[in-house]
Amino acid sequence: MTLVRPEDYIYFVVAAYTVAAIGLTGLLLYAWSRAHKWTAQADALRAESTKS
Amino acid sequence: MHRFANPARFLRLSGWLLPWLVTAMIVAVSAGLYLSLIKSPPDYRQGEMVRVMYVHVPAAWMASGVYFSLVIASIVSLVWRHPLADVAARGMAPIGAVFTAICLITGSIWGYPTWGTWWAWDGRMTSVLVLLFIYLGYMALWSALEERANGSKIAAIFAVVGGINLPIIKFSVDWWHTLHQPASILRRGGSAIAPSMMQPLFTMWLAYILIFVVTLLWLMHADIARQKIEARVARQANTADQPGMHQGTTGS
Repeated sequence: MTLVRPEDYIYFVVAAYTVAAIGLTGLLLYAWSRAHKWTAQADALRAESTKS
Repeated sequence: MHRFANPARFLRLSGWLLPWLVTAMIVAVSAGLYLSLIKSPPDYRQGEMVRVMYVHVPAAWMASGVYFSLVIASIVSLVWRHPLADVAARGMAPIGAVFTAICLITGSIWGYPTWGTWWAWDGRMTSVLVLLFIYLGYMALWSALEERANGSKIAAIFAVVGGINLPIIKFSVDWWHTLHQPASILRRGGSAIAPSMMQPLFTMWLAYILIFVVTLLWLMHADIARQKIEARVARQANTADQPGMHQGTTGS
């Protein structure tokens, strides 16, 4: 038995897409920022040791 | 196979591929959202709630698919000791955990108006919840054993043993006839879903696969760079500890 009127289904749709968007955008930003941080550090260290 | 397991070659190849994959990912996500939110018709029984299926079902496929890949990478790590297998397995865990969480939450959002409950201890839902705990346990194990020489081996064994949950997830709807509906796409007698709804479903799945690949490559790049830095710092510390070797290379 459903407790929700069909005209209110749209709120559930918006909630589901919001959850997916937040989760996947967060995941992409997390991965991109980690890649950026560590590769920048590795490049800086390599440049420093090449210079010296 | 070993030729592609070389980290330097992997970084070169994936660095070249990444901009193309990111572009394909943006196109696939845009197409998936258009097809699922605008083009797809409402279902004759579920109405607008069918649109939740386009984010929920591909997330469920990805949750199991990513774990299957993690098990394969762990087996490769245990058997052939590929340098990239551990890096790949480790990168897959947070991605799989996010897909599993999305699957559980969107399933719950779909369940309340459709079934009249947010959650039930049904075979499929419970086994997917167990999958989320396995992902979290795997990540916790990695961070606890990172410093140990056999840490990767223990994590790989854990991942392979956790793989027993995958057939349980797949066949749970056949073994226990509880709340979750049985398979409606990959089943004997063909799919039970209308072609107009298959198109957004598979486009969203493609978008999710591209998100997985892009995220995994970024995480692998980060892990390889981190390992290089740690190895370099350890080498410098060893050199500095040896008598007569204090000239150093970094000047620090």
